[in-house]
Amino acid sequence: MLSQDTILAVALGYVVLLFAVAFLGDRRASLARGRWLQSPLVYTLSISVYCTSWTFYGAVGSAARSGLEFATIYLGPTLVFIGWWWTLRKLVRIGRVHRITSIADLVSSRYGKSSTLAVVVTLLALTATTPYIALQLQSITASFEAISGTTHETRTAFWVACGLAAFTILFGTRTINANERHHGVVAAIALEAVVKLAALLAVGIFAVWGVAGGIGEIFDRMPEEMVDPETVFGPRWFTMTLLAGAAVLCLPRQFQVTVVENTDERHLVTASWMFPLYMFLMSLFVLPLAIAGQAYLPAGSNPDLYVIELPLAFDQQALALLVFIGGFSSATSMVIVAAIALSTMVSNHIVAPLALRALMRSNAASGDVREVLITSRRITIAAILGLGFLYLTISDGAAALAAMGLIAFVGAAQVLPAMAGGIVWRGATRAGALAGLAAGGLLWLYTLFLPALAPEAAWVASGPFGLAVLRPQALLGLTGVDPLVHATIWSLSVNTLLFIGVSIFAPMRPLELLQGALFVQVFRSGDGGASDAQRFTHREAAIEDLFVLAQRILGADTARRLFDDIAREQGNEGRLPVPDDAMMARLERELAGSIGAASAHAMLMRATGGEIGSLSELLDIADETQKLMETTLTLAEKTEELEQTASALRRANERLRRLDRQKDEFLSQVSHELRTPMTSIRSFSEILLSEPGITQEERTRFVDIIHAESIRLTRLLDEILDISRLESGASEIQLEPLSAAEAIQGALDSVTGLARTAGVTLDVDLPGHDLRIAASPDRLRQVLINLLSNAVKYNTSATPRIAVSTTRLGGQIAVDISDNGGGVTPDEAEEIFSKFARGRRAGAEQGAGLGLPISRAIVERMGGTLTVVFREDGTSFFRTTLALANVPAPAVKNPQAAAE
Amino acid sequence: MALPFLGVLLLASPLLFVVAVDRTLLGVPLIVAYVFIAWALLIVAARVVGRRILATAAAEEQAAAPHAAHRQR
Repeated sequence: MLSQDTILAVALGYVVLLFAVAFLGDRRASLARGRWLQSPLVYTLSISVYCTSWTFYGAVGSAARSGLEFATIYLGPTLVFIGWWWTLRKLVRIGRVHRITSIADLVSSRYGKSSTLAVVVTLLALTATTPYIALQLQSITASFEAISGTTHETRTAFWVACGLAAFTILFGTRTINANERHHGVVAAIALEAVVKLAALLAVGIFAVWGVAGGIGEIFDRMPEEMVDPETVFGPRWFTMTLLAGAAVLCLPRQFQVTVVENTDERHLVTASWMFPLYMFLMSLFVLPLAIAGQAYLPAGSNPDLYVIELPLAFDQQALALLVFIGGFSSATSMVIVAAIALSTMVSNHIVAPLALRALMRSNAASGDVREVLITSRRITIAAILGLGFLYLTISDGAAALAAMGLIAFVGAAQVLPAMAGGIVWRGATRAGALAGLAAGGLLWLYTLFLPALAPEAAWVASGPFGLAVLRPQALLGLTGVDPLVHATIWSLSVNTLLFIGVSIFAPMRPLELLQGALFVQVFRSGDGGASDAQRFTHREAAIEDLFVLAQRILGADTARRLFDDIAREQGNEGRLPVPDDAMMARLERELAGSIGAASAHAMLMRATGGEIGSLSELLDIADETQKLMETTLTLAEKTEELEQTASALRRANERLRRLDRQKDEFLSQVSHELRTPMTSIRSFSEILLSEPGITQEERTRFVDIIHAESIRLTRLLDEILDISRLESGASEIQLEPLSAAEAIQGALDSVTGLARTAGVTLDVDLPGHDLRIAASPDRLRQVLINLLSNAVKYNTSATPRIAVSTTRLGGQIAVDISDNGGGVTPDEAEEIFSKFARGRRAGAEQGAGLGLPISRAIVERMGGTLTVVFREDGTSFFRTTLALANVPAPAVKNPQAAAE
Repeated sequence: MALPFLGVLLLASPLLFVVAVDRTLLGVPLIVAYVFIAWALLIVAARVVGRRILATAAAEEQAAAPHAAHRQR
């Protein structure tokens, strides 16, 4: 046994060494000579504050109780760090750009600088850290008693707590510049990391080769259940891996060393493999130490103390002392960093807003906010250790170290949904984060934290008021699950569901929208300088007021330096700077480094009687959204346009094919029609040429036939020319107002002779002379003559009659021509309008079948229609409608031209 | 950066049950050896990947600098 005095002296000497390192580190940093202090190695070693006395003593205890399971606590962080690209890189960038001071600051800042969220996260972190601090107190107390042979547990623990509090206050709040990074502390933590690793490796090597005599020998003594696959790789394995991964991101002290104290993003690359390597080395001898403890130490020894009991049992006092210092290192580094992180959170998010409110109200020139903050940090540190001691006393110090630590892990993990969601999802809202955190935190308290404090209580075993459904370790009947897994499932899933669900339905304030965009797209906005420059719109701010405020928060000298610096950049050396956007943004960031984003923002808002955040950036975001929407819209329009074009093309193509077919038919019909007269012309001329003996009479008859056929041929060609001109729109039709009655009468006069010869009776009902139509007189005459002569020619009745009547139809006049010659069938009604079609009434030699198509084309070109109308009794007549002259004629359409 | 997914597959997936057999490797139970070897491999891989990222990041930064300035304007 070592004497208490020796141990105390060694511990004190070690503390002095730490102080010296911290002091030198701070001085080197301020002289800008401490390049090695800002090396990736020191950064990685400071992250290893993750390995506390839970690792140093508790891991072996955990291995002795549950075997390989202990490794999950280090595998989770390994997975997070080798995946640094996804999460840590973004967190570090956000932390640097937005001058984040703690995890509560990050969450609050992300969700619109919400002070409520900051308070909730702070309280949650404070509660979650309490069992963790208790764990450290318990391990130092137990190891001290083991090495010194004393047993005054409570008293020792009390003095350990007091010592640690004093030590941490001296250590963590020495610096007056509360917003600076703690270079000295980081250096001391790095030293502690080396000490604890060396101590654990030393005792591990001693156990394997000094006690057991080799690796094979030590595993020979391993109890089977230690690596029993059935129990090791169960739900606890996965749950603990997840929890440890979450903890390395969400524990306040891990956030402090990884994000807040980071000086260079590239250090993360080194830490991504070196920190896992550190944990790997720390874990290497855990299982052998657990086996050795069970094999060589007397039964009933506390597994959490195997690490120190082993050298003591083999009378290795120097090694035992090294182990004690190693364990002390692990505990102190954790307590220091956790207390600094938590006290920063408490002072920034709880004390600072209150102090600022008082400051604003009194508006007194005196009163240094900084002093208040430093004092509040000191009090907080003492309170944190006090709470830890209280927890230890209430829980009776009986719990395994790992079990206490895991309680803290589940509590810290509650921040994960809000934090991780906040940096990847712009839609995450303050209300969602608040709902998730509150529900997750309460469930964690109810299902894990409180039952651990009073495991024997009746309400834990059978539910409060005997309500079995509310049993904290079997909530709503979820039984048969390990309490840790049970609490994790309930708290994290309800937390995540509420976070997402409420976020979807809750409205977003402008500042949330802004911060969400800045956080999620932190890599897009560069280093934040340019975007921050426009954080504020112009507003009334008295520079003197701002200066006074800055002095109170940053301290007179720092504030003076800052303002001088800004003025110099603005080109106003020697005067106070102009409170422009850039200056306000910088001031807010500087203040945020001291009192957190929410408080700094609130303070500047009040000092300037300001408005919501950055109007210009809000506009930027609105612009961006607008642009996105426009692009989407344009794209949709384009698609629609393309579809329309495609279908128009399809239609045009169909039409072209139809026209092509029609043209082919037309050509074959034309050749057929031309062929008939040509054949007779040719044959008669051949007869005239080859038969010399034909009589003059015959000769005259033949020449007459040739002449008639030539005329028919010419007329046919004229008609073909006419219709092709009409259809292609080449022939202009000039519309002019003319009397409908005169036009009809003129046409009638032309066919009177024909009618008289055929013995047709004309029954005409002319309109009044004042009824004027818009038409071309010649063309209209052509149409009417065609219709009338058809009626005369094709009338097969014994007493042929033709009736012509006119009717006014709105803005049009209808000229109906009917006859008693049998009419057309409905099937024929459209067909007769196609080229070369003849009605069944037409004989073989009568006309080429172009009259009706030409007439219809002419009428349509004059804005009218030419159709066959059927009466109820089945008889039919031709109806020509034409526009009246006093109403504007519809635009002349040419469907074929439009299709081309 | 598929490394964390590989890590999850190796160390926190049903794949673990494959190696969870009662064998030893040089005197060490197979599942213990497996966990530590997989762990070590991930560390080595992370180091290799990290170096590559640092090398390309430096080149990218140079290439991206004028581009970023252009965008901010």
